[in-house]
Amino acid sequence: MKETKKPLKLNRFSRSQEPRLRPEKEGAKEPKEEKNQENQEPKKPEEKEKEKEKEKVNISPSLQDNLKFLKDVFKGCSDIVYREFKIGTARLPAAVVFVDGLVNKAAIENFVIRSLNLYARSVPRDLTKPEDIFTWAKDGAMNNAELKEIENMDDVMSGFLSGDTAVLFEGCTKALLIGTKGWATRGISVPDTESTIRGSKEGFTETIRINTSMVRRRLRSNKLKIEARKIGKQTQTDVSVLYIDGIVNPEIVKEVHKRLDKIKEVDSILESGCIEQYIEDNPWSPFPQMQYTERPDKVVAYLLEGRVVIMIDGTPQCLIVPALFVQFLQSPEDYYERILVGTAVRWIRYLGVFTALTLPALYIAITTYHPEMIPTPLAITIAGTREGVPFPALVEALIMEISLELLREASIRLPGAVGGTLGIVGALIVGQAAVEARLVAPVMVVVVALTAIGSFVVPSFAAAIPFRLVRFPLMIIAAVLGIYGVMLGWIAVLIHMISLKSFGFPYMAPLAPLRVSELKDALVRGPRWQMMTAPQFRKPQEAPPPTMLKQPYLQGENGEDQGQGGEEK
Amino acid sequence: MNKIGNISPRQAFFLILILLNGIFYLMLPRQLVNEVGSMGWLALMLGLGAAIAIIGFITGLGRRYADKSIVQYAPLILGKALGYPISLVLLLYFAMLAVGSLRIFAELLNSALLPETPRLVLIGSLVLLVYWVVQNGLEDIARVTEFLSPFIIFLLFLALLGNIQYADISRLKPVVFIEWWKIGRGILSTVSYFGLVVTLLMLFPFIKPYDRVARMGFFVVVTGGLISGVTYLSLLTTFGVEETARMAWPVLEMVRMVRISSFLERLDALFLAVWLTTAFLNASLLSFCFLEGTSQLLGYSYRKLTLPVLGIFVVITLLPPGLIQVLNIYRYLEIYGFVITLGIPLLLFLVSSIKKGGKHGAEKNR
Repeated sequence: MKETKKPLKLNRFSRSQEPRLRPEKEGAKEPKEEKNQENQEPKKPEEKEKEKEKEKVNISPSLQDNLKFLKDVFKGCSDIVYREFKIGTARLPAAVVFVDGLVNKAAIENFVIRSLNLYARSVPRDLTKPEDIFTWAKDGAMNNAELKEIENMDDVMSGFLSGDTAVLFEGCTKALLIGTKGWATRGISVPDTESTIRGSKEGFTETIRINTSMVRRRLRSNKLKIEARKIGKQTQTDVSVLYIDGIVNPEIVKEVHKRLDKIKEVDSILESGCIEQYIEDNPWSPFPQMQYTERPDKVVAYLLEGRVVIMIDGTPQCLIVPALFVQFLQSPEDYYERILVGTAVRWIRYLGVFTALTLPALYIAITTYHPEMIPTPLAITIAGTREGVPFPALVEALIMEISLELLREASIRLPGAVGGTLGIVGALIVGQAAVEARLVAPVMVVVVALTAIGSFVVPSFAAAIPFRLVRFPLMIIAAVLGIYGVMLGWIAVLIHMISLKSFGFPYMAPLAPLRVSELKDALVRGPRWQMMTAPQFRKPQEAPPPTMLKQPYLQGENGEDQGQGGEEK
Repeated sequence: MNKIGNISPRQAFFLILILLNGIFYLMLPRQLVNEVGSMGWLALMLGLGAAIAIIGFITGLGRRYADKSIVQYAPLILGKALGYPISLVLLLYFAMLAVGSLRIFAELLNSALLPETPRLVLIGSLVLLVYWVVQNGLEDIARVTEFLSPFIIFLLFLALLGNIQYADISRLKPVVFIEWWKIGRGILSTVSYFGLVVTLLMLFPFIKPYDRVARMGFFVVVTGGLISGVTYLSLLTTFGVEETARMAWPVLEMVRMVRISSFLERLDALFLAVWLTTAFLNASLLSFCFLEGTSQLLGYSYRKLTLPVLGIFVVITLLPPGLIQVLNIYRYLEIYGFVITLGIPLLLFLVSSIKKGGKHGAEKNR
């Protein structure tokens, strides 16, 4: 009875608390206790650690002590530069510490060292106390845009490690951190993995600041929040959480922060995939439960739908949560293209997914068990081409499918031009040779080709992989149970996909659970002006004005609406 | 993931609709033709009326005992001595139907698609899927149903449409004849058939918001009845009374006759897919009802019970040696099922109306 009563009270968002990170799962045995424990017990050790962290190393008044300390800590780190100099006529010893390669050296030379060393000589002689010199340096001497006063060595270290420059003064227990980040970056380029015909050609780069700027440039709103944090004990990777205040459902933001908090202790975050695996709901599923993208326009579109974006420094891919299955089959182009075209293209993709998933299995089932199911002339043709092929259909299909996967993997590893050649060699020459050698039937080659093409139409690479994977078990069960097996396989895949959740949101929505009002962006690509009733991720109170749901710019009476269509807000 | 979850009235609609037009739907027309011949329409209509009444009783009870299933409120209404046995009978009925749907499906598959595959393999593989989805909870069962039912309904619709070419209205005669005994039998079996809505007795507490259940119930019964009625008429006009009565799977035979020009002749495989999914969905829902009810009765989590119970289901499913025995057993269910499907809700509703016991509870629970 308790069992049944408890879940009744859960609403949609309390469900989102249920998915867990793995480390936590081990600790929490009972879901009922989980909630209480989460708030109290596991936090205690965390708090203790925080207290420990608070006992940070203070900055010593002696510059030499500080430098010695730093040199001890960074023993063997040849890229760290300590430059000592004397300030102005007071000859107060000072030093800058920075990491070579991470900084804009010209900025340090021109605005830090030159200011403090050279220009300071024109400062009146009565400025001799270290505190006064510090204040003078902080308030006016250096012309950098970013400047921060810090009070302990830990901040000094983390500051210069992230590309800023620390300035230490003799006789001062404070230091200055000057924003001089300036490392070599890759320029903004076309996102290769998500190319579109129409729409922006910009892709994210490996530098988080450039990426956030690309988003900010498209979304000039004070509602766009970019919350920064650092994850990774060793790597101290910058991670930003982006969302639009007022549109996003605050529960999702809270959940994202909660999950990110839980992985503070991991060693390294090298790529968005690392974070993804830590915080996704079901790491064992082949299906991606977060979407990654390199396209700023996609990020902005999803932000406007009320989703949360996680950006990670060091990778052009950022994560979009929560993710639904249908969105992996959508491309930004769908929205830029005409309504009918967008809709038709979506259906082509659904067909592609179906083909990629089941065509080989159906081929095996039909040729092995139920040749009577297909029209007789076709059945005779297929049987004729299979004449002389020594293998059962399953082996035949496995040979071809596995060689296809080999080719595909090989062509990714090869440089562009060679990769294309390999595709031609593989598809045409090997296929043709296999047919002529009577290893496989020509129909099988057609089936495999269609399968491959089917999986290529999926815009998201991450979403195409699971279908490639699931295809193999389906083929095997088709060989065992025929068409019945294929159907069982489909149902099994469906059960699994329906049970998935992304940050507590059902993965198969809006198909299951059915949300009729959202089908306009799943089964079809509805008109722009109807997309204003935003999906489930938005806060419920965020309803668009009813006039927006028509074609406001065609109504004529309100001439001022012309052309803009209210798309941006 | 230790939860059962709530379902929306729409999901409940699909669950019940697929139950009504699912695997037992295959049996109904033959049963009707055997019992009332061409006057099945009357039996269907009366059965429909009874089903609407049943929905009325169930929602009435549900409102009084909100958040409780029949297993929990039957003892409150009738006292423990009578309440527990009655809920047990209902649970056994669910189990029987679950087992029945599995077996009927296996028979269908054996006769139409896979004649040599052992039944254990057919049933076992399906039960594995049932096990999986039942473990995931009612929410997932509802979602899978919701996802698949549009396809199922669409294909059924296509089949009925494709058969119009063979229709001959004169086969419907005689439209009216008076043989009370026969008509009575027919009504009993339709009441049992539409009585499948008693699953709502178990599902009611999970449906949110509950005030829309009555409307949903009405629509589902009407829709399901409409589909069954059209199928029945379509069968009669296609095959006539005598031929239909002799067929093992008249609906499947009808579907077999559908063809698109001379190219696509064997569409029945597509429809076997339909009945595979309905068998799976029906077995899942009925197993869930049985398991959830049993767990409420015993106070265990139903997830622990699922594996042994489904194992027992498989064994029971395999017990009858052939199709004829299965049909015989099913006939008893058809004839006497109304005692459960109509009797239990009616009895509970009447007694609780007299006692007015649950009224306060309902307000409190909400």
